[in-house]
Amino acid sequence: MSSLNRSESTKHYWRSLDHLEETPEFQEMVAKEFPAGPDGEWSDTSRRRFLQLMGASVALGTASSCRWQKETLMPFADRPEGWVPGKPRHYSTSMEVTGVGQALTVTSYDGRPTKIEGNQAHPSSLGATNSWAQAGTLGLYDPDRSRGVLALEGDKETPSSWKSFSAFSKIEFARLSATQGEGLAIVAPITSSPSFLRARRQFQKTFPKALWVDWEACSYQAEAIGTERVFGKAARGIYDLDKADVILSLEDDLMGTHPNAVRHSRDFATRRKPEDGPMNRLWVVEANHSLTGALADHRFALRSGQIGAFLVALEAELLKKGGIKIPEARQLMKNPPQGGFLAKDKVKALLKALAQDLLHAKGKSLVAVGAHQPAEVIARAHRLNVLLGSVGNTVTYADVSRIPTANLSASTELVARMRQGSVQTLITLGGNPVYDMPADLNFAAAYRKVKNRIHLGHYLDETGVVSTWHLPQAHFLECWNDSLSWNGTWTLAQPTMEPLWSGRSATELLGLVMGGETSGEAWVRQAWSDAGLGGETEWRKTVQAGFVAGSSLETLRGTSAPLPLPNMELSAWQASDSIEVTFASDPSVFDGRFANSGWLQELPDPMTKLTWDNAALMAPSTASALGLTTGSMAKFAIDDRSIEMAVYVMPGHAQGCATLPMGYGRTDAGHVAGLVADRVTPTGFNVFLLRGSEALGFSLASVQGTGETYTLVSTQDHHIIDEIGMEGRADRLGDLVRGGDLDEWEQQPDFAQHVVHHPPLKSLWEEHKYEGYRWGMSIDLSTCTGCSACTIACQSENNIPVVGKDEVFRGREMAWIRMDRYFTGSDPDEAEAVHQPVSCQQCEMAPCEQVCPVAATTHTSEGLNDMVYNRCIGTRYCSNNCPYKVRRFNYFNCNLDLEETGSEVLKLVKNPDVTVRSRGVMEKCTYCVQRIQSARIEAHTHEQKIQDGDITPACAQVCPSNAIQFGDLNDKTSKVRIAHDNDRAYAMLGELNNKPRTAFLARIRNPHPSLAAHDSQGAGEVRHG
Amino acid sequence: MSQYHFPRWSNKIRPLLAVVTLVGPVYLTGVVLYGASPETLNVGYAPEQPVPFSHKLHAGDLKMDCRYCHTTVEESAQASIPPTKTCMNCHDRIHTESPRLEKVRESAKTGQSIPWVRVHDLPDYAYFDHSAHVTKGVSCVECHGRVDQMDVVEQVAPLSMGWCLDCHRSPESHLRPVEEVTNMSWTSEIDREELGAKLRKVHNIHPRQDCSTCHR
Repeated sequence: MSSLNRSESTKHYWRSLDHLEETPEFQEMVAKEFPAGPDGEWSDTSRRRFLQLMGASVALGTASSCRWQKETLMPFADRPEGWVPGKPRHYSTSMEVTGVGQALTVTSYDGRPTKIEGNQAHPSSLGATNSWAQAGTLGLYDPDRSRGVLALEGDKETPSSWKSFSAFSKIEFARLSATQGEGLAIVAPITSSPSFLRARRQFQKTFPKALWVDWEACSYQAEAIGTERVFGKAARGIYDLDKADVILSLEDDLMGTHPNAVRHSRDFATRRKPEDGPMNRLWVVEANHSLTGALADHRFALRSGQIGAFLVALEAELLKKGGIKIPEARQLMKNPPQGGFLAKDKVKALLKALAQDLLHAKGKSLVAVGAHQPAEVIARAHRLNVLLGSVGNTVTYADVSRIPTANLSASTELVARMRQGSVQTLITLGGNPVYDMPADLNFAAAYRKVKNRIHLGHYLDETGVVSTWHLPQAHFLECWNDSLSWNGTWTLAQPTMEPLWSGRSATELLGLVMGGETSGEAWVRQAWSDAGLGGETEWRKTVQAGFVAGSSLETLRGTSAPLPLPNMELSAWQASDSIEVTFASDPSVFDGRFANSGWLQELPDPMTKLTWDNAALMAPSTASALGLTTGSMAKFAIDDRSIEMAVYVMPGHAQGCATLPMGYGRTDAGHVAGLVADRVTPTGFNVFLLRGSEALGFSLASVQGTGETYTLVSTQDHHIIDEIGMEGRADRLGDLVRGGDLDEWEQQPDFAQHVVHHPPLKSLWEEHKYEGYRWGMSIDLSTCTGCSACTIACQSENNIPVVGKDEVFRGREMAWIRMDRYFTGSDPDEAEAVHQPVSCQQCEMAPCEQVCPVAATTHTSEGLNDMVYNRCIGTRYCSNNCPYKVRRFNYFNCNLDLEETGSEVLKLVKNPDVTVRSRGVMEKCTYCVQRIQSARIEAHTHEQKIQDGDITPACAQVCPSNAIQFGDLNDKTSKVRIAHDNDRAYAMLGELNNKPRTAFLARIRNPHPSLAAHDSQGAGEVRHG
Repeated sequence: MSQYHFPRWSNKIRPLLAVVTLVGPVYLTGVVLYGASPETLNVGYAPEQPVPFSHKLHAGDLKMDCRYCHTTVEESAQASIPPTKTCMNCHDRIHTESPRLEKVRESAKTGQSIPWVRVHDLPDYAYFDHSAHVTKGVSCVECHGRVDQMDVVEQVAPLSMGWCLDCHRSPESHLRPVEEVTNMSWTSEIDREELGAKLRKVHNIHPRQDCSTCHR
């Protein structure tokens, strides 16, 4: 027996269903770090081609002289005052998605924004962002962005200019204003921008008969209707997750795709560290296995359509316990919902425990509900917050009646009018309705009947190509704007550079067609002055801060007395033979707007680990009942609409339903996500073709396998840490990601340090001594939500290339910090998930350093494993010897596209402080050594020591839940040292005596005592062997 | 059928081959070591500039401080080439008609940059920071030589990694009082090593030799 003994009661963790079943594919993945691709080890470079290339490079090497290229220096003719070349500058700005602003701080080098961080002082950010904001710079420099005004006619595109468009609009809109806007329509994206809404009011005054349609695919009207039903006014729940002891999420992805997920994660995290006080408890009921579900203490997988029934059953349970009072109580108690899933003992026990928990924490509980749920479910869920006394404690309701949401009836009206031919001019202010309107409306066909189709957009997208005018839209880093964050903080956006391609913002276009003010700055400034916030000095201060401090939405009054709700028709929620499909926004590309971002396409989905595709997610049992498996193509049909789509079997998904992520299958997105005209196959499948206006959230559908298969590329089995060979590996994943329940922690706080027992560790050679700084990192698995913003932040900071679907298939993705996702539980249908970010552990006794033949990876006096790209000859020995599998190899020169004509603009996205690597070079996480060095130079030129907090690596800076700490381990008061000294801290594979500098803090769950037995496989007592 | 005979001259091939085998590697090593070394390739590089600016005249004869033009040397990685505006501070009054300043005037008028040619060109994977050196008492002279005596700036030091490391290993003889950093003609009154050792202590100077100091 090996000298390493493990506790047998350690949780059984698995990475994928292939792993659980030990399929041959998984075995290969373990045996080979980089598995063979579809067509052999190497791509199709023939020997002849190889010799040609070799010959050419020798010739080139001789021909070009020994000295490198002559470089010119281009100084300013007149440098702005205070401008220091080579020093980054920081600007506050913001980005808006579905009407919710995210406050950002942009790092700009010599006038070009290169990195986006969260605005530290802003209440909705606190310094963190999500991955969409991180990918903002790539979106700005996307070579596919439209580069000028186009006049289109049929298939003919004629380059035009803003001047010609102005000339056109002058005549056209003068005519329209004469008829008060008869025959004019606007499709506007959802925005809370006070300056835009001001322009909109003005517009509607000028063109009172114009039809204004608010539309975005992932903005749901149901939330406004539901809250209006119960409170009398459209309201938004603003949650204080740090104050809630018990949280129930009814398919609301609070820490995932929720617009306020960043702040939620931070607040949630404060209650997940057992040593910092009482932990909260999270209950999640949902169909898809979401990030919030992965964080839950109790997760119950349920079809979206049955969540209403669950809620009513919960109300009945609460009534039974006498905890709440509702008008329809008598009726409900007489005929409580029953049958179907509610008849199961497990569900009964769950409901009982949940009701008990909610009542126990009365006033400190919180119920959240997904916006895609029907209005009646939303109304009921929010009423429960009132009944449980949460309003004013854990949740405040804000009046959002003035913020538009997607308006389905107006959209339907518009399509009807277009079909009648009564719309002559339609302006799309930045959305993509041809792509994302409900399929049954058949927007595209009706759109062609409009004479003047004006499209403002970042790309010549699906809507752009069938328009008559395409106008380039300014990126959020190029224009003035403002918006309200989730809690209503008025957040400003200032341009960080002049528009690259003469783009304009939606407000500017509205100003132009009204023949009025066309400067975005003036619009924002005017909205600000109207609010009476002060003069020039205050304005400058506000722009610098990026938001109006203390501003918020008006709190809704009268929430203590909810309006009576009609009884819910429960029979509709009973199980049906049809499969239910839930339309979900995608964590990577959202509703398709971020589709052309290579970073986001290649970012593995946090739960499925799929890259470059979406797929219909199904529970293992549902898939097998339908005769489907991962990669099978299936036909989904609702009425006369159908799509064919690949299936992905998702452990923990609810049975009898499928989740279809939207935003893929773009035919006119660009060279990344699909451009059919240029023979670029769309990534993924277009779910909008199935989505009808009768049900935007979820709907019953028929599903049938087509017999075909599709190659889905998932990174879930890549870079498997294979500790001591094939045998026994499966049992040992519990050593890598450690966790337990709260009561185990209470009994033995350092249980995580005793999972693996080993003889005393002796070093083979003299150990290093670190007298100066000793850099280290800690990652708290209890608070990590798995959101993967760190992966994109790292990609942006460290110039990490995108490799494409084929290369990811070969296991050659380049992410320096990968988000490992493990499942646990023996029944795949009820699997729980755990996330663990893994980057280079900067071992003090690093195995990689021992095997490099050219000393390209060396140890620094502060304990970092330096990677010297210019020395690396690409033997890959280091990667082979790395137990954590965190080294990445450049099989190709991934930066060749920078030299392509038209793509030069992509060069601007690179961080000038980090080398751009070429082919044949190994790379890995450096703890953001460039940030360490610049902090050192800053401190040392002022003859000071680096203080704790002076250095924040990109991953730690972006982390919404503050799970990552970095600092000097020799400083006993540093945050990272305190984390390393925490009882929960453990070294991953510490038994190998690598002395990793990154410590993981074990994940603690807080199950309900009466249900804890159900989860008894937790890492309990440690058996010594 | 006649037998094939090697011609007589072919007898010489063998000794020749021996000579080539013995001498060849030595010669090649010499060529590569000497010919491709930064000393040979880079030292003495003095490209022609778009404007014949003379450091000798400005920094030497007129005794202008380096930092009058290279303003950011103490706070940024880059010393930075001055904007045209800096030239025009004087040259809108002095030599206003000089044909040699034509490009400067044009740049001031149009706002277009003057394309100066980079003399001291480090590889893109080496990250040098002026501020870290200048604020610790490493003079401009140490790397750039007596620029105040150059009409056309040329590279005097190889700027190779070995050369950098020489100083990082024993910096004493390259340190001077911080206030003398831009004084090109400064000489130490006491022994340079002794002074350097003292300054090193005062400023707490520990030059690092880790790869990531310069390569990121």
